[in-house]
Amino acid sequence: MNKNSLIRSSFRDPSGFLFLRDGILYRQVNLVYKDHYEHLLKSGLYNALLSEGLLIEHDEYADINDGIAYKIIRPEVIDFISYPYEWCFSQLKDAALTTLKIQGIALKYQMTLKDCSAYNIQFQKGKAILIDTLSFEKYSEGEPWAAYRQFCQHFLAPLALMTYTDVRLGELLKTFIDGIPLDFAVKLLPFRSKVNFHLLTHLHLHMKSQRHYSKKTFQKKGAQFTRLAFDALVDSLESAIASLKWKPEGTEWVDYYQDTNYSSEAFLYKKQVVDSLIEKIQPKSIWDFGANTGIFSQIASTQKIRTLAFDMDCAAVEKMYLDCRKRNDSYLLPLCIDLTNPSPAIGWQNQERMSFIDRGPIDTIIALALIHHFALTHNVPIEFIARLFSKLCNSLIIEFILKTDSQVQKMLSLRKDIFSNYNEKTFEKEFSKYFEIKETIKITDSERVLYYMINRGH
Amino acid sequence: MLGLFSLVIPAFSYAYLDLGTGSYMFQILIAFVLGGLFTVKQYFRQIRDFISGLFFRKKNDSFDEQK
Repeated sequence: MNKNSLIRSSFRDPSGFLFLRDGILYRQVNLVYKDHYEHLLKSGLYNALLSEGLLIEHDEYADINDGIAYKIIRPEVIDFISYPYEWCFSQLKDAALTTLKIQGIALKYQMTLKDCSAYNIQFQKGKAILIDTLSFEKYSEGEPWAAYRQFCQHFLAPLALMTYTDVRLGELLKTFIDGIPLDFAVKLLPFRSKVNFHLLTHLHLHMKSQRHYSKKTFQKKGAQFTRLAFDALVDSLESAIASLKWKPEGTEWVDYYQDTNYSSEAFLYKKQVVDSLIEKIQPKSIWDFGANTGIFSQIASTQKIRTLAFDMDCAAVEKMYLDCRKRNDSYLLPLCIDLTNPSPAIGWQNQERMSFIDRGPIDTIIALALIHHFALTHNVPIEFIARLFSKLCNSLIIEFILKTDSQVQKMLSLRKDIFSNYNEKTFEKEFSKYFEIKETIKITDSERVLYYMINRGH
Repeated sequence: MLGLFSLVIPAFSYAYLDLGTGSYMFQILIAFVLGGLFTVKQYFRQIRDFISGLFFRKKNDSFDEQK
């Protein structure tokens, strides 16, 4: 009986593909890739990239000789798969710079990247890393870079849009699974983007060339693109990416912790409670929803627990990521996720890239100062919130904010209060259908209550 | 264990990606300009490194003398 199952996103490259067998991830390397694979290892490129933490490690599992497959390798598994439309500005920028750095190193070993999909990069231990070991091919001088178009669409165009137009345009990567088409990106960019020489070249003029040649047939001729030109191209793209900068400010939640509703004693108490709960639970992994600047996520990552910090505010996630990078926090990964509209499954047959929900469940979820937004701003019934969390975690640390809290009062001040079911009793009743409430802790000097619950289904 | 996946595999491995004719030609068109600018940039980088190397050596020498 066939116990292998193909990874749905791994089918385009004839060099090989990923599959699962008995829950273990393998990559089949096909005979057509044999020379390139052997050069990757023998040239020293593999070790060079490994030593800089730029490529995932793999071990060789089996040699095959069936006319199609050459080898089976077992790659390092990424803790949490995230997608470019879930990354903040600096994560996408770092992914782009990592790709170019890898390309620069590869050329020194007579290899080149044959593709530059943003999906080939993942974040592991807080850093961008290439996960597609078969992305390399032997370099022969003369041919332009095969991955140039893809690099511009997956990285340069979205970053330019996020810099010059609106940072939320990174979400377009969800709609355009092979990166943002240059003609579309150029329409959305302001005139001043042309003043940037690198964007003028690699976006605006590049687009014009695409348009010019779109209806022409073309015969490939001899060697025309020298190694010097290749190095210059990579250097120019690096300058292009480096020139794009965005300051995280001006969004709704970016200054949240300046304006919150806790006295300093109440806030300190809340931190202590969360810290001791995490220490007691000792989860293998944590998802922190509405993490904002990551103050509570850091409590988990400081305890060396793999933590994902989600927020819908891209500026807040940007600040979290920059802070993680500064502190070299290898246990914390911030991402842009809106739990009221999380990432859907996209791609071929809606199966290439997983929905957010399908990437769970997880050990423990932290949901502090969050669900009142779902209930009161988005009118989500408490029962629906409880049901969602029951699908996502084994245990839950959740904060319920009473209607008497002044922030909730402010939220309801300009509306009719239709939320007769928004109270402690209903909250406990609905969540008790799915969870067993283990602890109830009132935060001193506030109208807020913390709960620790265990999923009844686990 | 394997060989159960009957994907059609070509006999040789070329770049599987659609390069795009416009992108292919564009690189050839800009190669000369980019190459020239890159060469000038490298030249100035070398001069800068040489000068800062001199300055750093001078600073170290005077520091050693003071010791």
